[in-house]
Order: sequence, then structure tokens, then C-alpha cells
Amino acid sequence: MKPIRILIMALAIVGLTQTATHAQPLRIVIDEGVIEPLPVAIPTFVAAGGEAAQYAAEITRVIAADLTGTGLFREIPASAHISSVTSFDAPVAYADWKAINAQALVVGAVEMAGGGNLVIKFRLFDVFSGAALGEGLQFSGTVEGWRRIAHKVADVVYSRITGEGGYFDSRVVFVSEQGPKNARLKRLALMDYDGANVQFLTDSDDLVLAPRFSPTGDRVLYTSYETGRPQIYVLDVASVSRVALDTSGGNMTFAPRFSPDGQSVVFSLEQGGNTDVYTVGLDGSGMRRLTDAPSIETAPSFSPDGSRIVFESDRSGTQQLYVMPTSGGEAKRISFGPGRYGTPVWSPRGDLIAFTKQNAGRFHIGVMRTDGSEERLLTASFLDEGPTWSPNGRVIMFTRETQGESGAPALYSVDISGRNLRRVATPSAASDPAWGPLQN
Amino acid sequence: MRTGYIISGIGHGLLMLWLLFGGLFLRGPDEPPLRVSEVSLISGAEFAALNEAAQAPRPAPAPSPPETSPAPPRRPAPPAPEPDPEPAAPEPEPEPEPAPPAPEPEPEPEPPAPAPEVTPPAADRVTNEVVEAPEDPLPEGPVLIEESAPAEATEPQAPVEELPAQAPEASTTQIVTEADRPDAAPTSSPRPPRRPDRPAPRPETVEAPAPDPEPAPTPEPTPPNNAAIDSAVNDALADVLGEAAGTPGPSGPPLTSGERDGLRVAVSRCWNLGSASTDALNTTVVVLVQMSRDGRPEGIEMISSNGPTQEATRIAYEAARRAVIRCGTSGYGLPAEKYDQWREIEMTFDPGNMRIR
Amino acid sequence: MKHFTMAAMLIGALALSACDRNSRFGDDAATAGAGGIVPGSPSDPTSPAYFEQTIGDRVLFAVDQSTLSAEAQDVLAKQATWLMENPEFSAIVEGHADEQGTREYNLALGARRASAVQAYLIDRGVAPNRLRTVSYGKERPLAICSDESCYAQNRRAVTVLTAGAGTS
Repeated sequence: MKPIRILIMALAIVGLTQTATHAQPLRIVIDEGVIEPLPVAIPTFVAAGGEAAQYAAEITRVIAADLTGTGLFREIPASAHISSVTSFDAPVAYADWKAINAQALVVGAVEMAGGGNLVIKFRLFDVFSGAALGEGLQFSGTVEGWRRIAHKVADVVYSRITGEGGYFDSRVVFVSEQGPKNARLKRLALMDYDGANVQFLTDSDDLVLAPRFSPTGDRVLYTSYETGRPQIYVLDVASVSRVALDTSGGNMTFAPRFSPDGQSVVFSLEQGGNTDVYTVGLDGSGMRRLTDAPSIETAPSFSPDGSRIVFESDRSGTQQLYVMPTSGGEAKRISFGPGRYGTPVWSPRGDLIAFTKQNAGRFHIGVMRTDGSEERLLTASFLDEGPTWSPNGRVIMFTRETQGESGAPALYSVDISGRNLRRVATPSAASDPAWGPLQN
Repeated sequence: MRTGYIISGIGHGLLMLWLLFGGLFLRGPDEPPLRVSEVSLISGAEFAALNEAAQAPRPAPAPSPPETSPAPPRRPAPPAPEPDPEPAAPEPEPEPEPAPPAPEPEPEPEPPAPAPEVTPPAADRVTNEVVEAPEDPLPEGPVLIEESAPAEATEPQAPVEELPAQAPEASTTQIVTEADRPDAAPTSSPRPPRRPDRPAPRPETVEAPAPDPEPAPTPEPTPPNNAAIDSAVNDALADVLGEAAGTPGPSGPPLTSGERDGLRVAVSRCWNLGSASTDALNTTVVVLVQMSRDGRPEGIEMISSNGPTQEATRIAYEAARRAVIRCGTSGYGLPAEKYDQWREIEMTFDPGNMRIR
Repeated sequence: MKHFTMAAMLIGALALSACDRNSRFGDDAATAGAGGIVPGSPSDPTSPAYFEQTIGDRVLFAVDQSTLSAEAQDVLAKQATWLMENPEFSAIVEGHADEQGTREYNLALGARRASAVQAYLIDRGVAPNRLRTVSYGKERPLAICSDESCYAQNRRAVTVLTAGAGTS
């Protein structure tokens, strides 16, 4: 139907100058292509004034770093540019950009708005189509927040070109480590997703483990040995104050995660050597036991719709992944490959579960569908563990620890395609990353 | 949901305008550092939604004028030579993949006055706003940058066929596909003035109007926005091939399998899904390409798609369009005597073998 | 070495003079002798140092296991005896795991090990309210190399004495 209409129209059009005699179009199927970073040109944003020029340069650099850091883009260096952009509103010299094979072009401008604010506007162009992709956008914010503005611009560009949601304007909470392997000092820290703006949330007096962001990013759950035994705490990010999660009793509690609505916590509680999964309200009310088995049940994670929980259990004899309703009840095993599976984390899109796999002396970060099918391992090393998802579900960050006496952990990220493995810069050794939501 | 976003977006946009033009910047410099929320006008998600929304329906103000014109012939233009040299091979750049360690720190030194590290940075409020066409502070409606912009537009649209002096030249005579092209840096970039014609863009019409965007993955993905782009695209194509189409040609015998293969391979080489979303990697699109007599694409439109979302369809279509245009810049080398056989080519881009899995 | 000899002698002395419910204990003390006792030192049977070094404050486990080996039971029996003879002390049993495992699982595994030790000590007569457990998972390795020689030492449960008679 549609093809017919098109054809008719096409014929009508073509008919103006040609005979419309041919019939069917030639049909071909392209089922092979290439997977390469898209070449993008990001000429330094046009600045109005000297002060703005400084920001323009830095902001442009951060945008470029964000985009190329995804592994999906390749920046064409300024030295290769044929024309320069000196005015935000000047016509785009497409031919010049085509000539250097820039397939996308980001043009922007920065100006000081007074009151300690910056205004940034930008446009994105599809060079070969000779057209803008979407409309121009403008952001403004404080000069101190220039990095966030840059991340926001990059998020929009990324999103328009890839079709994925952005994730650059987000933060990661993690454990910063120092000291020898047998006497490590650990403290909670917060940073931008790219490692900038590190801020410590606790001192290193007490051992702290595995922080987890709340869905809105304003709170962090973590485990601390503050009282001498592992207990879960809730930390308010803005005030950096914390309170113990009331799970009544002196049992060891750990492996907490927020429910999607941020109102409750699913965690592990150990009693008499037996660890099971429980939930409790953020205010300590309504604690419920979700599993009751003599085996270890831990590392629970909610599905984004809040209906199910994936966790690990060694009830079969080795660590494996199971999914159960949020209310508890029968759990279905979803991992069946060789080796041990742990630390499952449901992706924000809901379609995949990331996990740590231990097999044949190696550790891997992998993903599988929520029914356990289509397992894919993304990494392999002496010790990789603890995956956390980027807000858009496209990237996974995790802990990679090196071997030996001087071994230390560091944060890495990898695209869910298994490409683009990168180390995330941190000031010192780091572990247990938890990616927060896109900021507002 | 979407409505909410739109309303929110409009509200935010107005607020933004007020902030911008009203000159009042409420945010005092001294707000608590970690507070981000208050000032921010729009969240990332809203952003995305807005963008989408913006792309989709696009209200009246839509600046894109030309497009409106109904069915215009997609027509190529003047026979003129063609223009730009073309790019250089993309050079892939593999990516190590598993290579672990390479730490590549990318910390960034901090420039200007960034927030100090360890101390709570001022993260803060970034007000963003989507400037939409209507009121946007941006000078011209953003969208149309195409029109306004480029040199091309500048010259009014000349009626068909006239090709002014096209500057170009340089390039082409030979078919250099990007693949072969040595390296990029172009030596001569023709850019400018040329541009003759470009009849009114072609409609794209056939595609879905833009009624209901979100729902179903209907095949009609091309959001209106695309219409604008398409017209631009076609213009661009026209430019590129400035040549005119000419007369009908003899319809020769069918293409040989070798000829078809050559075409398939040529397009494949430029079909890059490296920056496509995972959803787009699960989207097959079928496009109809109008070919000029010298073997170059001069019009392209999407016929169907099975994208799970409109966004996925858009991305998949854009990737297909880039492939057709980039690799066809110098022509696909199809046998001229069989022009009638390939005057229109329906290309199905099926990423089934490339998806992430 | 010297310590060891002295310890052996002390054990013998203890075996001969104290409530020896453990026959193996007595066997070990075959070469009993007498020696000076320095209060608080490993030679002082009532000192924590004696508990830690002479009896041994830790037991080891096989990979991913929390069952007590015969050797471990041996050590724990002595620990139980000591604890009953020195009621002014309580103990915290720390469970540990080697680095070859995920953080959460290792915490749970360490808890299992600590609990196994606790249960054994209670079974041997130590009052439950004098024993607590805590797991460190893989957070506090004793040996830091990344091979089995170190891992074996890290898969442990350590009985750490604390002053006080214990709580409920």
C-alpha cells in the first residue's frame, strides 16, 4: 500500500521530465555493515569575551571527552578542520566538514551572563544530510557548574545521534581505598561519572562497603563496620549525615539496595551463619523476610518496575542467580552456565541483568536476559566484580582488582557490546562503584 | 506522560525565557553546593522527552518552510558535475576491546574555576532548557539551520537546473569511495556557492504524518522532523550530484548478480551502526532511493521499519541514509545502459547479524 | 622454637594438673616438664597470648567451605577448654574468606565460618552469651599474595578474646 503510493508519487514527480515506464525498483538487502565510532567535529565553542573563551575551551573539551569516551564517537581533531566556526549563527560550511569526513558537527557558543552564570547554546548537524539534527538548545547555569553544563550538552548530542538516553550528567558513589592490602582504609566517595569532582562522604575510621544510590540520587545506602559488625546505613548526600537502617537486632546486615520507588530497602541479614534476603521500609518499618533457606541468599536487586528481585544463592551447591517476586515466594533459577554467578543487577531498562561470573580461575562481568538466556561475558580478568549500570543501561562500571601483594582495585567501564573497556580515573584505588541517576 | 513533559517543558521554557530576558537570575551564587534540584528546570528525561516531542509533531511554528510544499519532485538537478570531494575513509579505529588496563585517565585538569575537588563541588544547577522553535532565544529557529544556513540556502533556490557555477570540481571525476580514499584531509573543498536548484524538497509525505508519535512502532517512523531533514537531505543530494537527470534511458537488461553485489557491498561499507542504540540495532528499515543517471543517489525516503520505538527507527533510518549518501557521493558505478533497472532502488537495511549479543 | 618447646611443656603441665577431658590433649603432653611462667606471656596459661599463640586462635577452611576439619576441631576443643577456665574473657569469632569470591558472598561465607566455630565452642560448653561472631569477608586478608599459599591462610575463623564476661 504504502510502497504503491510512494511509487505513484515518485512517478508523478519523475514524470515531469521522464517517462514513467519502469516498474519495480531494484531491491537489495544490506545485512552487513560496520561498527565504527562516528566521526564527529566539535570545533571550540564560540566565545563572547575573554572569560567566556576560557570556559568555551574547557566546555568543548569536556563535551568531546564525554562523546569519545563512549567509544561510539571519534573526534576529528581541530588541526584537521578546514574551516573554523567564528559565529554561532553563520551558515554551516558543510562541504568543509564533509571533506574531512565529519559526519556530525557540534557548533556552540558560550557567553557570560552576569551573576556568575554561563549561557551555552549549541546545535548539532548531520553533515552529509546537510541538515540540523533537532533544534538548537540553550543551557545556563553557574560558572561553578560549568562541567555539568558541558555534560548536559554532551548528553543531548549523544542522545540525538545514538538514540540512547544520555548519562554524562550523572555521579558515581564508590569506595576510595588506601593502604596495604591487609589493612586497607576505605571511605565513601562521590564523583562525577568521569572521575571529576571527587568528594568524600565518610572518613576512613571504619570499614565501609558497597554504597548504593537511591533512585533520585539524594541518598546512599552502604554497609559500615562502625559498630564493629556490618550494619546498613542511610546517608543523606546533601548534608552528608547518616543514620543506621533500623533492622532491629544485632545481626549482620549488608548488600542493601533501594526499591525503585526509593521507599524501601532489600538487603541481606545474617543470623546464626545463615544469610537470607529481607526488605524493610526506609524508616525501619515493616521488615519482611523474603527467603528462608539454610543456604546463602544475598546481593538482591529489584527489577526497575519493582515487581521482581534477582539475587544470588548457593542453594544448588554453588552461587547461582535466581529471580523471585518482590513479595518473596518461589524463586526461579536463571543461570546455568559453568562457574559461579553473583552480584546480579537489573538494568534500568529492565531487559538485562548484569552479573559477576567466576569460572576457571577468572572473573567476568557479563549480562543476560532476565530469563537467563543470551548470556554474554563482557570482560575477563584476575578479579572483576560488582557491576553497576549507567542511567541509560548502555554502560556498566565495575571493580577490577589486580593480582598479588601490591594488588589494588580500580574502576572500569565497558559498553554492553563488550567494546570500549576503560579505566575510570580516580585519585586512589577504588572499588564498589554505584552509578546514580541523571541529575536534574 | 508525554503530555506532562510537554507541559512541563513549556512551563520550563517560559521560565527560562523569563530568566534569560527578565534578567533575573535567581540563583544566588551561594547556594548549597549539592543542591541541584531547585534550579534545574528540566531533567534529563524530560529533556529527552522534549526533544522527542519536539522532533515529532512539531507545531506550526516549525520553521521549516520549504518543506511544506507538497509534492515536489525530488529531482535532481542539473547535470552538473559534482561537487565535493568526499570524505575520506572513515578509518575505523578499532578498539581494543578487552584490553583492560589501559588506564586512560581522563581526569581533566580543571580549568577555570572549577570546583575544588574534594570539597563539595558545586554541582549545581544547570538550568537547561530546550529552546524550541517558537520562542527560542536562539536566533533563528534552530531547526532550520539548514535553510538558513549554509551557503546553500543562501542562494535562493534557483529553479531547477541551473547550475551556477559550481565550484566544485575538483573532486571527482574519479570514483573514489571513501574506502579507497587515502586520507582525509581534503585538499580542496569546494563548498560554496553552488547550489542551484533543489526544487522544493520532496515531501516525505508518504510517510506518516505525524499524528501520533509514540505509540506503535508503526512503520512510519519518520517523524516530521525528518521531513525537514529529508528535504535538506535531498537538497544536499541534489547538490552533490548536481547533475541532471535526464531523459529516460533505455531500460537495459537486468543487473547481473555481480553488479548487484557491487552495489550492496558499496553501501555496506558505509553503513555504520557503531553509534546506534541497541534498539536501533534491532531495527530493520527499508528505504527507497532515487538514483541519478550517473549512479548517484538523489533522493531517499523510508518506506518501512520495524523499530521498537520511533527513536530507534529514526536512528536506524539516519544510519541508512548516511550510508547511501556517503558512499554514493561519487556514484555507485552502475551500468548506465541499465538505468531503468536501477533508477529506483529499494534497500533493506537489516542489522540482524550485527546486533549486540 | 624455644617458645614451642616451652609451650609443649606447659601444655603437658596443664594436662596433668587440670581437668583434662581431652585425651589427645594428654597425648600431646607426653613430654611434660616444668618451666617458669611469665604472666601475660604465651607461657602464662591464663593469658590471651597463650590462647592466641599456644593454643592457636584460628582455624582454617577449605575453598568455599565452612565445615570444621579434624585439625580445626582439635584447636577449637582447646579454645573451649581455655574459655571455660578463664571466664573473665569473652570472645568474638571473626570469619574470613580469601579474595577469590564476590564481596557479598564472601561476607556471608565468613559469617558461616564464624558461626560454625561459635557453634562448636558452644557445643563444647562455652556459654553462648560469651561468644559473638562477625564476618569480614575478604576485607581483611592475613596473607596478601594471590595464590593458594596465601588463600589457605585467609580462609579462616579467628577467635578474638575480649575482656568481660559476656553479654546476653
